[in-house]
Amino acid sequence: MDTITIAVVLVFLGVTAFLGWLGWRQTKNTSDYLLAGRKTHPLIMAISYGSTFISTSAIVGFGGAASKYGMGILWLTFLNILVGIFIAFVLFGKRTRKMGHTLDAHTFPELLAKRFDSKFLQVACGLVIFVGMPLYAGAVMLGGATYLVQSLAISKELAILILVVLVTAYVMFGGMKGVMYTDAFQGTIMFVGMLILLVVTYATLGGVAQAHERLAMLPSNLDGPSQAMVAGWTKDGFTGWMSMPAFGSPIWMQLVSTIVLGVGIGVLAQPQLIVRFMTVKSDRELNRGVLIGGIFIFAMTGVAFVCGALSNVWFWDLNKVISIAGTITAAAPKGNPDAVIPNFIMTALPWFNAIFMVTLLAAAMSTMSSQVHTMGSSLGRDVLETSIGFRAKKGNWVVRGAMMAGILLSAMLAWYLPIFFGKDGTAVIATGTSLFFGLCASTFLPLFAFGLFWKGATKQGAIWGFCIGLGLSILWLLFFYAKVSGALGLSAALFGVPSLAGPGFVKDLDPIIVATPVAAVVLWLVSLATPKYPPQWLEKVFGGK
Amino acid sequence: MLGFQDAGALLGFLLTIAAAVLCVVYGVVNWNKPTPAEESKEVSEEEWEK
Repeated sequence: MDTITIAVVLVFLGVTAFLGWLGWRQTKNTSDYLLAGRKTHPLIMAISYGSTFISTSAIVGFGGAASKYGMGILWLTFLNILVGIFIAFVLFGKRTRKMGHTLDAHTFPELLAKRFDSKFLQVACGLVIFVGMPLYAGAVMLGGATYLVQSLAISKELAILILVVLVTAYVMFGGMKGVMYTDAFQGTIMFVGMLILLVVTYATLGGVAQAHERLAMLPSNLDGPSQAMVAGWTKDGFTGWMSMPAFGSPIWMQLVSTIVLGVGIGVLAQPQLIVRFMTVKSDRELNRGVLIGGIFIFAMTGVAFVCGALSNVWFWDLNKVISIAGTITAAAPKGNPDAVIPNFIMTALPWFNAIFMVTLLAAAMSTMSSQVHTMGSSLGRDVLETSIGFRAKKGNWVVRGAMMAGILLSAMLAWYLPIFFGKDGTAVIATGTSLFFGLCASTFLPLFAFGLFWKGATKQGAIWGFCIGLGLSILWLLFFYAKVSGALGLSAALFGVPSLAGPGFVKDLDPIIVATPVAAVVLWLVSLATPKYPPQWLEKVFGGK
Repeated sequence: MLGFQDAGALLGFLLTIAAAVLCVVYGVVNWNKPTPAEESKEVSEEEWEK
């Protein structure tokens, strides 16, 4: 690592440490520690939301996946902006902010518990978040570690340790204020870094039109191992990088049901994002956040996906292999999509390495910090304090201890995920992220949406919707969704087949497609059949409107 | 158009740009809503702090 890179990284870490310290200085009580005092500036809130939403999963994981799926993955960027920003802020955000303020809720599980008057929901949701989120946090950590390993030539274990120590330090002490200040700084770096990447990539390949034309023509020019790899994809529905996969094919199902819908819809039920809506004072901050967030997400995922797909042209020009074919190793005989973006930066844009390393560090740390904060508040406040009354006398130390447990669990998964899923060329980071987003959508989205928008939703309906959504998701992952059930091996051990769904398209259906609508229907039917809340109570919950 | 080889991929690209434009237009139109007067009334109702 050269002197310039070291200097850039040290300045980045110094500013991050200062902002974490500033958050610590300004944290006076629990509301400050969990919700930044509910008076966050719209620019800080919107960039914090965006940089938490967009992690190394999006840039390294999904950017690498784009080198296989091609430009069709831009449907995810469309949903990221329309659902993840516009619908999330305008429809869900305003209701969440108002209800969160009215009910004095500090966390997402606490909001659901106070809306439905159910401590069971607070504890159960807190447990699901604490147990499930390490899958996503591990994927984000893996994305950051992958780049550190390749650019600093250090071991994966050391790279994970560096990320864990850095993030834990400022989240534990800085609380939500420290998280949001550092998010805003890191998000600004990400925005600038990704814009530079977009301009340089198109300039290197001869401009927008020429780059797209060359990518469109690439499948017909291939030979050698790349041709063999693409021939295998073509059997599964691949039609080229500038077109969608064949409708209903395995690749189309992976792209549409798991990646586009899993993440595109699942974002509405992400606890670490929902809590952002409760950190602002009024709807005006949310209106301003729509503009800032829309531009930010467009510049993040749009750039990562376009550059991931276009990297195929650059690698073909360089050494006559497509991006993923260039990542084949003994450990990943079918290639490793997660290595594509780091490879592309280091070989195509070596001068950009220091800036991009800080961009990725910022992306990893801004998301990890919120994940650690959310895991800590879920286990600490929503489970331990609520269920058994286990409280620290002062200083939020129960939440801080839970943060430590959450980040250690995530680090173990970051180390273990590639061993478990990476043998068959699976995009591990994108898959881990999608699974968590899908699980959140199936488990939380029906009760969150009905809770915000339907006064007729009852406590029993919410509990049944939660249990069915969670249970069906887990059942589907263990026995039907071939990508996961095959890797877990439980279905094969019990029934002799990797998936009970048979050879048709059902085995490629993500749990979000199955469990979310079923949970929503169950919640609706049970609510119709069970006693309603008294009107006075609903007036209190909905703020009299 | 722009190198896209089917309507599905092109539509995804165009809708992405349209969604970003929608966010910008919405943000500009509603930049100062609610007004400070409306906001202070709303926020004071939204009581638990006492």
